[in-house]
Amino acid sequence: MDGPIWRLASPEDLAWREWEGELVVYHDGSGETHRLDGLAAEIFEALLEHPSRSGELVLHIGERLGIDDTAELRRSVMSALERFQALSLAEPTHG
Amino acid sequence: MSHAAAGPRLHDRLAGAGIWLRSGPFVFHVRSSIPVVTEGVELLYGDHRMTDHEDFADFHIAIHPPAGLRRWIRPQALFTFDGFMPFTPLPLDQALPFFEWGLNWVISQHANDYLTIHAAAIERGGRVAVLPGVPGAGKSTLTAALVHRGWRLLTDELTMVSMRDGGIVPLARPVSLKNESIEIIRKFAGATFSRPTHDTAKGTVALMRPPPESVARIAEAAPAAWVIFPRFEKGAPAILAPRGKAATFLDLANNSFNYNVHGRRGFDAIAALMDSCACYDFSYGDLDEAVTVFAELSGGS
Repeated sequence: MDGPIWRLASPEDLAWREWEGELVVYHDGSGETHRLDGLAAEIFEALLEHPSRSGELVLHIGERLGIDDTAELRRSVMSALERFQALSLAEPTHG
Repeated sequence: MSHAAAGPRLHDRLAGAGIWLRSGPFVFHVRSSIPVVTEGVELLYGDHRMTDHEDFADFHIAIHPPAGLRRWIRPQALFTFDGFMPFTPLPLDQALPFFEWGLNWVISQHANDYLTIHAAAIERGGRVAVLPGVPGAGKSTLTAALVHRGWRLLTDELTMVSMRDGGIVPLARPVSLKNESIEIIRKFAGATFSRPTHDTAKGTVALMRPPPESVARIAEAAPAAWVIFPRFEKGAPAILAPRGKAATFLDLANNSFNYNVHGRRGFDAIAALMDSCACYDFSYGDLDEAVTVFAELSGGS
């Protein structure tokens, strides 16, 4: 699978808690607090386990949520990753 | 140590060296030469500890008429905190609510030993219900009713979460009610009120004296067990509806005066509240029904 490997940016700056399948994530660097549900929560939890390419995340989430690998799912995952990057929660690497 | 004497002597003390007023964990050094403030302090803080001197005050408050023409022409009141004037003057007849709003501001901006949240807090059976609320939601009216029906008043405006142990720390200060709520609570509870102040930014405002039993237990913090978002809706049945903790977390953080000041510790404090509290939305249209729902919630009667 091509494309960058995504990982959580500065995990030491992050604190998070889960309730009822939703996450609240605090980022010490920005002081911002985020609520993640559904797809975003699944992606964050997957990256907590290990860095992944977007394609791997698509497969993982597809299995977790019983969703087929579709172009829409792949777009949604990429959109979430880009959103995480904008919030300094995650970053792409090329290693 | 002595408690405030009635009438002219309290006015003289407030107008002179001031009095030291304890509210919850704070000592306020208060000075004022404005009769409506003197009258209000005597009426509303009569059960609080007031002395002629303490070695230390957390906050030095003064509310006086200005020097110059505005002392006489469209007279005004000036609020100062530690010698600094944080607000523009208000009309003199608003001096008493101005005093209370000023105390709220002082605490919310400076009491960073606590996580402070714009919410009421009431206690029953050793457990606290935190009631956040947007203005107009009916939070203060509900609070005023419940503290006359078996609940203890901790605060109607500033919930203070101890950063040491997460307990909710009482202030037991007067409850601010406005417009039609004043008469509703007067009839519902036979409560004691200050003279109403008209034409404020919030309409007509009156301050309700806190129940003496609540003031007597002002040193007793208690853990939170519920976070309940009230919403008054005329004619609506009283319904408690569960709400998600992640959404509640964000709402509490957004309602906090100093969540960002605390950083990670603020996150941990609200997370601990979410771990220990059941969270609800509460709509109601009748105070008696609301009282019944809250009694059932707490296991009381």
